[in-house]
Amino acid sequence: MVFMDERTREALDFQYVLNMIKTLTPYGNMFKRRLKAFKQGEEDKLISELNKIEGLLDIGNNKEIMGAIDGIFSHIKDLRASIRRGMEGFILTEVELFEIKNFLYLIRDLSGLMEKYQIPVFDDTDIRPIGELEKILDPENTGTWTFYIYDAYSEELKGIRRKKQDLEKEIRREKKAVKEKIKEELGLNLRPDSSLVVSKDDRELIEKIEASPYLNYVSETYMTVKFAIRPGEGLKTLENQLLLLRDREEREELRIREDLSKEIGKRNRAIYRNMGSIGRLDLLLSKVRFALEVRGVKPEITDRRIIKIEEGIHLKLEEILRAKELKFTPISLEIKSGVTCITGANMGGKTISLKLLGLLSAMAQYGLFVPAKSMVYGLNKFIISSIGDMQSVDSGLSTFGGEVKIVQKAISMSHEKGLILIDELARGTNPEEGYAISRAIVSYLRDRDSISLLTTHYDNIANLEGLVHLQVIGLSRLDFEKLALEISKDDKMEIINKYMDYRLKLVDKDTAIPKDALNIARIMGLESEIIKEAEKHLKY
Amino acid sequence: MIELIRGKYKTISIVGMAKNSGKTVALNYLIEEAIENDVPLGITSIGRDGEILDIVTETEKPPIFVEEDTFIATASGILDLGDANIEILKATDYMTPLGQIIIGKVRQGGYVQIAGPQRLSEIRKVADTMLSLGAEFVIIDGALDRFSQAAPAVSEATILSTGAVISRDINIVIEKTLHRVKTLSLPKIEGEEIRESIRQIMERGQIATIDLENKIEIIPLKTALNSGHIIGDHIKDKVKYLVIPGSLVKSTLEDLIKSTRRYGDIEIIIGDGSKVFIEARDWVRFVRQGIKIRVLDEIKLIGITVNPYAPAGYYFDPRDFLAKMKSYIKHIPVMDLVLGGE
Repeated sequence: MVFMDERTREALDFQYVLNMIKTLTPYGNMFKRRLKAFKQGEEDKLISELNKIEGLLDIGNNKEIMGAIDGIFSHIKDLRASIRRGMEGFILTEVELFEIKNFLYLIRDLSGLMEKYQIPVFDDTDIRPIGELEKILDPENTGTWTFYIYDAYSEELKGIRRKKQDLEKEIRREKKAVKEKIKEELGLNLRPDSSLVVSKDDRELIEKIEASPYLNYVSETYMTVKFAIRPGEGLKTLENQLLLLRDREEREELRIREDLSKEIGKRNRAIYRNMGSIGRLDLLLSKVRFALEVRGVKPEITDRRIIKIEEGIHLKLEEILRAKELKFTPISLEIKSGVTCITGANMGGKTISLKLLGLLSAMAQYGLFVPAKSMVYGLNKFIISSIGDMQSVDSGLSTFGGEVKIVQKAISMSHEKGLILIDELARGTNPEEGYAISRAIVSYLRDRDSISLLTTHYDNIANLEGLVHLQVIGLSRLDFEKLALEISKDDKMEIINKYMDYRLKLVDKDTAIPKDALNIARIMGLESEIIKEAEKHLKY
Repeated sequence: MIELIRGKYKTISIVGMAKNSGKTVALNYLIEEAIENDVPLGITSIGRDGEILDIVTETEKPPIFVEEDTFIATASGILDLGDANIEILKATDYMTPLGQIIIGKVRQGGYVQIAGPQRLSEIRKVADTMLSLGAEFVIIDGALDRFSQAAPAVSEATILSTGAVISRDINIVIEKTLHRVKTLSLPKIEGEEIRESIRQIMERGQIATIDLENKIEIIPLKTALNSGHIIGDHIKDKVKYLVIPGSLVKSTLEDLIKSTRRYGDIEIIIGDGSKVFIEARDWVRFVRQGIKIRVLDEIKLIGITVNPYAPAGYYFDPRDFLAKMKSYIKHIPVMDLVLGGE
């Protein structure tokens, strides 16, 4: 059974929250992608995860330490493919060896940092430097973050390179000597690449050059002839030797790379282990940053069937309101097994209350801190929701049809210990039948193991025996005379936001549903004639 | 040639008028001179956009001989094609179809292949890195076509290579070279404030007009290509500058002249001289008609190399060619590196 279907994820804006959790390393990204809700029965694991976050809050608040860690994290690259290649006996390139050496240095620094600042270490975030391999990739013990097939790798290589250098010097010396002789005897300066181009007009010079033992004809055009230093027997031998050495050097370098690749392959477990630790530490610290950013609290995990939120905040809505310079009113609610109904004014935040409960529940179950003053949470097997317009173009279902499909799915799961969220039950059909269906669904869900939270407009739904009835306080305390003065204001939303009391109160099951629709319509600017006409109809 | 650079410029681009105009000869010559003078160099090139095949087969990428202690910035995929021993100093995040860009230092001399970053900002960064590591100056092997980023835009100074490959007619070669020199050396617009406004407009890639009171009007077009008449409609009475980021082509100017009478009263501002893609003959006509063009960033042309041979088999008399070119270009040194001397 999936914990949350796509539609619910979307309706609850869960992705918005996940996007706020920013991992910095490729391994952290991997673990973030694999994030899953903790299952019922895994309460201890979840508590331990939340405790880890709690234990790192101080570190998260320390800019110096976090800056240092981020500095290391931002350089971590995904080297899994290279390590695997090493394991499988392939020969790694110099760039790969360079990257692996850098990775080793980074984990060494990270481990040092964790020790220095006494960052709590958990079983699965233990960073263990691989000193042996560091040494192998830094054979001359220079400690620099660069890589090269160092001479120190083999006497053979060292010898070849020394010989090569000597040979090159000798060749240069030889050439220089010839150049000087050419200058002396012919009065000519060679180009840096030891060649000379002469115009064919200059017959005299060409003859002189051709007679010279030091220069060789290379090529010609119609106008010019190109000459180069004639390699004497000595120079020829030297150049041949150099070619042979180059070949040997290349083969020796390949052999060394092969050895190094094997050494790396051999230590794949230690390397992979560190990659895993980095990924989990990265994810954990990103959860810590998130907790601090949203001023979240650790949800108290219980094995009771209860969800209790004190002053919870819906992060996305808060953000939207903040952009309009409005404030989100924190919402408190407590629900248990069975059915809880939210009733109240239009635009009173019923849907938001529903979404908030779902979102914070999902967050808690994913091992995140929640934006609230406190939260008590018992794990659910699933969260399923019917929120917003269920009209589905793809399947050709109307709003009502779409809703029924989802509600039926929820009902079929309701004997399990899950969380069912239904917004505006049966809103898409005629009031008479809608009411009948709603009442039937509510009384069915009332006796199930799932926790159900519903919002409704219908009277006489919330008054069923055994239901909890929450009501938005709404505009009930508003003085409409005063309001009339403000109605000219442009942003109606602002007015509603100002006067609406979004908080929920527990009411007697028989409490009537407040009739705020006309008031809201008035604020939103519906023609006063129409409002009057509507009021007339209501009197009957 | 190295004396033109040492102590004066930190980044030098070498660009060719066309393929086989002798750019590689110029590049190798400069490298050899640096070796002889013990000057630690940095070398990179501007990569070409496109598929890997395109890059490998269609761009000339002859191996370059580098000495010990030279810095290079090249793609990891061609790092081991040469025989020089390279110590890897840095692996950047700059990607090319040939792999990420690596900055390395030559430990033992030999041949290398260079394929640098594709973006100007990345070229700038790798050049800075090589300078900070100890290069005295950095050579950027560049191009002057519409498919590559123009190297002069990122370098302090530029060397232009021209040659017989351009035409069998020596006069046409000289004509085209003169035109290139002229457009590359277009004067820059003066005034701190106006330059800053123009830079911001260009960075956003917008086409805009600026009037006498420094009021900016953005013309809602993605590119100036084929839109000269729309631009013309926006040249109102007080407009003083027309800012065109990207390439400047013939049709834009033609349409502009057709659609506004005020084309002679304004100055057209482009990024730099390498953005001009207008033939010499058309250019002269536009100038006579009163079109005025300035650039945001001036290109400092410090040398021109000539190559009298064309791969097609024909050639000019090297001395004639050099002498003729010199007689037309007096303010910039002209060299035939094969013939030797200036």
